[in-house]
Amino acid sequence: MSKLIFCDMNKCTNCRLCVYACSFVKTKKFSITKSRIKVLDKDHEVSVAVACNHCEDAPCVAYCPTKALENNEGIIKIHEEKCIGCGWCIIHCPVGAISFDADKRVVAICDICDGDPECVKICPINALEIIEDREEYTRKMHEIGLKTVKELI
Amino acid sequence: MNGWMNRILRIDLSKDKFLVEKIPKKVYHEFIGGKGLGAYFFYKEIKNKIDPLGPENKLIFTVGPAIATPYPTSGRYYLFFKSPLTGICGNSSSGGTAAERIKRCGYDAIIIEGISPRKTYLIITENGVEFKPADNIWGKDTFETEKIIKDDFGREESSVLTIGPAGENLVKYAMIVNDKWRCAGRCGPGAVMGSKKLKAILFNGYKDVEVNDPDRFYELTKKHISHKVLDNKMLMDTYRAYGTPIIYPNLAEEGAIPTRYFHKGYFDGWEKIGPNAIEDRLEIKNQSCGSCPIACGRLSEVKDGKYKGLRLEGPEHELLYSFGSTFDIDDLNFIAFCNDYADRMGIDSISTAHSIALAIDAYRMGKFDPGFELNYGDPECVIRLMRMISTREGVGNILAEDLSTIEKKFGMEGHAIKVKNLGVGGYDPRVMKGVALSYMVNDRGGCYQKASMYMVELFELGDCLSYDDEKVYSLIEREDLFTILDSFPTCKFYQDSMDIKDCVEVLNALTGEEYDEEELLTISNRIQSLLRLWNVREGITREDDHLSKRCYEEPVPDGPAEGAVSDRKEEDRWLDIYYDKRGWDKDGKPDEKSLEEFMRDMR
Repeated sequence: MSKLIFCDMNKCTNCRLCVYACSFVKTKKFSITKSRIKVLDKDHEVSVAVACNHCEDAPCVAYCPTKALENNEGIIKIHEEKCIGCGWCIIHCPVGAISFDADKRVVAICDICDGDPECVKICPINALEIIEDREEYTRKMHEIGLKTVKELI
Repeated sequence: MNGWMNRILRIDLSKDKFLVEKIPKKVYHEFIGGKGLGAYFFYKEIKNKIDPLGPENKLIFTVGPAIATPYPTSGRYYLFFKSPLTGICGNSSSGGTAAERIKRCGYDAIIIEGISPRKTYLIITENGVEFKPADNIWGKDTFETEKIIKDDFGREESSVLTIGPAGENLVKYAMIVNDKWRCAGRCGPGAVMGSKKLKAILFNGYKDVEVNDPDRFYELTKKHISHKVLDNKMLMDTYRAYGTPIIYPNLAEEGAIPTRYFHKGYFDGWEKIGPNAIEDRLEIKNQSCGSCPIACGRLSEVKDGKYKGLRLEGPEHELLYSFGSTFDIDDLNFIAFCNDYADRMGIDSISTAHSIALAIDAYRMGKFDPGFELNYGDPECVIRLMRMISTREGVGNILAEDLSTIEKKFGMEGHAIKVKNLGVGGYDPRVMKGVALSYMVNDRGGCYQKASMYMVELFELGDCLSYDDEKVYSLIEREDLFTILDSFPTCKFYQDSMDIKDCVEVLNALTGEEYDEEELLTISNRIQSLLRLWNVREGITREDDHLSKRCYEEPVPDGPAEGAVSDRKEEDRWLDIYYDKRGWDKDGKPDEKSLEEFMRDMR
């Protein structure tokens, strides 16, 4: 069963606590480039946190020239010993969710922290949540689609 | 490795040169960051009696050990300069995204000096400084400028500090604006920047921040986020739920909302612009500055009327006062418009309201005629004057000056409600005696914000009118604590949740220094004494630590606090206690010799 981190952009306040939390648990540093989650701030009016979407047919896995990435039951696993740090996966990630760890010279992708992600725990406004499976994700996306249309018409 | 970046960036605009410097470790220990480190450079580098708009004035930007970490509300930068508005120490602080980007460029402080030979803007990154021509953005408002510079630079992880037309035109109370609605607002830093021909600064940095004991620090951070913010019902029910306007009804109840420029003791229209009205009419969603779990910012949209579709973060409490009650106008849409306009032009709303109200009073008293009618309750004349101030057109040229100059021009000395020439915030000092004392002794003049004594008077004591000595002791305690927290730096709305013991724990985990409570209090008092000493050398005396003449002579005419008036004798008694506790003499002068010796040791 796959899990996903979902950010509700109607709630996200652009505090970036998720970025710090992620980089801390993964690297013990407070870094923006090492964080596996990023926050986009559009004109200070809309902000949204972005992490790996765990695509079904993940382009990052397909394009990796050294087969360092593997879709392991819905989580993209990085075999760091195989990663040459070329960044080809970063370019092909459709949601811009892959980071590059400059110290280790390998890429970094959200691994959901064994199902209990630190970013979700620290989010002070509950904009981030875990979605347990594809079905729930489907329903969420359906609702978002409808809301987007509602704003358009 | 310890919360500090160990680098100071110095930029000389006259020569298009920059230099990366180091300062001794003990300076970091004794001054921490933010307000403290800013005070250190301010005292050391800015000479007394210089022209605030001349080449000798400097803009000193500081961040601190807590910046670019998840420590709650640590998204603020500090700024020091000699104020062109008050002629004394100028300092201001702003939130948004800027502080993190400044620190991620790898600097604890950035000192900008000289005057550029041409209109310029700066791009600051980890690799240094690029001096760019600003001809295409000169004259543009702050929103446009940010967008143009950012789009041109093309990287998302960047923040822009900019002045608007008001700063270019050297309006004495011009601000420096970032992220559209976040401003270093008071004391006129925008005029200093304008005088340097510096339109804007873009910061883009990616440096990691490492702290001394990451595990301990992260544990404390999480604990403070939950215990001091999320479990703090007071904070959640007020600032999270309504933002700063939540305080407005309390002030209405006390008769402390300054109305018609302190000529009326009660604002009839407060409910029409108060927190509930804002919820009904404007609000869209909460917004945060960096690392802030409170999220008191309100992204709002005007839903009807002339300004329909206007989106802004606000209006905050001070805007309800500045453009609402000051002019006796209970129209939220008008306030939202003024808020937006002031941010775009880059003028401080509180000071703008003081200048315009002074003009209305002068007109009513027959001392001034701009060629059109000026009246309270008339939004059109306010908007017209605000536009003229930003461009210094016609009478705007007078109103763009400091309050003393405007008073003199109109022959109305003692009329403006100010301390050390800084117009006071939205709390009537005749009613709120504790807030009045904080206006009187603050290092930048009539500032309500640094000690936020309204929290004590409204919520802790439930008593505004008395000269209870508890207030002066509370003020000292708060100034001592908040000066340290301003050196992290953190946001004012968080600081009431903290005590000095918490500061010790956090700072030690961050920096590896071994502070204790007593040392932090010594450091805090020293920072405040240095700023005071600088002001004393500039000519500030005990006499300047008082309110305007009107506060003693004109009692509040009506409303819940009818008859309230300031009492000089009681204030003098408080000043004696205050100076004594600070270790200053009867005239409010700190011990010059010991402070000078201390500063010599810092080399």
